[in-house]
Amino acid sequence: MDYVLQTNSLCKHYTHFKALNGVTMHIPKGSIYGFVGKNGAGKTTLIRLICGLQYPTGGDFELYGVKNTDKKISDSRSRMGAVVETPSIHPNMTAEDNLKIQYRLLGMPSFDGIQELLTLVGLEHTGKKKAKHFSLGMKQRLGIAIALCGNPDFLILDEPINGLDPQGIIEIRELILKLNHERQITVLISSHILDELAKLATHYGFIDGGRIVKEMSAEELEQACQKCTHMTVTDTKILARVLDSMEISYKILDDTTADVYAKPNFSQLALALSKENCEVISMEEHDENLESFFVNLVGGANHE
Amino acid sequence: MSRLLSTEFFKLRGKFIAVFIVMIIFAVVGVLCSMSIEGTFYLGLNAYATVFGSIFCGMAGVSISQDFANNTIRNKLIMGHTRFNIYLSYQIAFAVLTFLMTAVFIGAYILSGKIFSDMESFQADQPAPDMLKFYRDNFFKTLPVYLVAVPALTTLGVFTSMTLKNSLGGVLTMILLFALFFWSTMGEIFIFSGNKFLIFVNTILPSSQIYLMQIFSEESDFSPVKYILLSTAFAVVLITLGYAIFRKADLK
Repeated sequence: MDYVLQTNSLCKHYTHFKALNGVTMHIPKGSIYGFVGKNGAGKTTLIRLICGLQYPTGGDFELYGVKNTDKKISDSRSRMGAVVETPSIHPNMTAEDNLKIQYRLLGMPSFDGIQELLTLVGLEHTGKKKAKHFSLGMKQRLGIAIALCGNPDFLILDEPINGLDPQGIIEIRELILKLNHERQITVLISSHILDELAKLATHYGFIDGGRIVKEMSAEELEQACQKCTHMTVTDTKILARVLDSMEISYKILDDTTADVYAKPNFSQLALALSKENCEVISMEEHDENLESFFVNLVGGANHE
Repeated sequence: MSRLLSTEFFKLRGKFIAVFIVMIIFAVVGVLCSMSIEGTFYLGLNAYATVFGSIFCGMAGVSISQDFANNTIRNKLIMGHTRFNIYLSYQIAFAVLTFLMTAVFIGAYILSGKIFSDMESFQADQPAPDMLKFYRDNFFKTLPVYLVAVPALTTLGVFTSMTLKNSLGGVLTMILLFALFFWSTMGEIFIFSGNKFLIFVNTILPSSQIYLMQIFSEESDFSPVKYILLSTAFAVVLITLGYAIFRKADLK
């Protein structure tokens, strides 16, 4: 498998604090890599190291096969774009001027792609409005547009949906999916909003206490998370008998509630229960989502 | 490096167009004011150099601090520009623009002097005639000193803001400038005291050099070449020190 980024026992130690303590991770080419961790777990520190904002105190990483100690790492970095924490924009400039600055820094021969980029992130109608007057979502999208200057094939987004309203979250999600599907851009995205991450990521890296505790694909995660339907009925004894006859696994919680695993034909189930004078009061899909998986993985609140 | 410089000049264009206009106005107004007291034409340039030294140094500090406050400096690092090039591009941009603006001011000042005032009308019965006579005789020798000392002061603004790496860089630059110019006003006392170390330190600082040229007399040891070399050395030391700190610094 081709990896855009690989880290090898990467460490960042401060005088009295170990922000990263031997992080080893692998980001496959073309993936959307969800980087999951609590506050202070080391997500942003790792991103800063990759972006060259800080230096590791131990270990190393390879970006497009170039080690961080190699002088050519600057060339590798020119193939990536990043939004670290807050979008890096000039507030007193328009969206277009912000992109022009980025184009100059990249040494692009013309400003031809700017309108296309603005359209891509939905900022084409901002005109002469200065970035300081933008909403948080618009600033975030401008930050992504800046990161996309020069057509990078690796995009790092650190908490891109923090503080956004639901509409803003949807817009950013759709943009990331569009970039991944249409432009084949590999995306490293860290987020606290795990359910939102679950709608995007093809791979996951779970970090805790400065270490990667698990790396897995979305398929592996799906298998690990058992889905079930939480049912409330008038009599779980009847429910158990019917489910047994349908060869469906379940777990009786009390006299009226039970968790039914797998996905039975609920019409048939309801009909069978009705024949035995058992009413279905409610049904609710219940699964161990990314959030609960993560909590179980890192030890939840007790771990703090 | 050329990409970074092009970006810096693009960003600073608005500020420097405004400063350019202010320079011309100040030059003309300065000359017109100096007409009320004969001989002050020669000293007027010195007073303005002090002001402009502060303005340009402060502009460098504030502008770079904004890059840190807005985190736009990250964009340069992320796209692979080296820290050396980033530091040097800031320094070169501000030094070049300050040099050009100082040259514009000096040119406008002399031109205005030729148009509105008789530059040769100095009379020996004016207050402090020796100093003014000395100053008039050395007027053109001092110009290269301003052209180096004023841009050299910008190294302080770049150093402070690149070392602090936050929005306070601009503020601290201004505070340091006030301290430097306060130190400069002590220059006369240092000369009288005869303390060689203090006199040497005073001569190194471009801010003090500008001030010292106000209090020159025939007995003064004024050497433009020495001043230019010392200003250059001041700039080189601050750039080297600033880069050494920035090279290893952790950025957010």
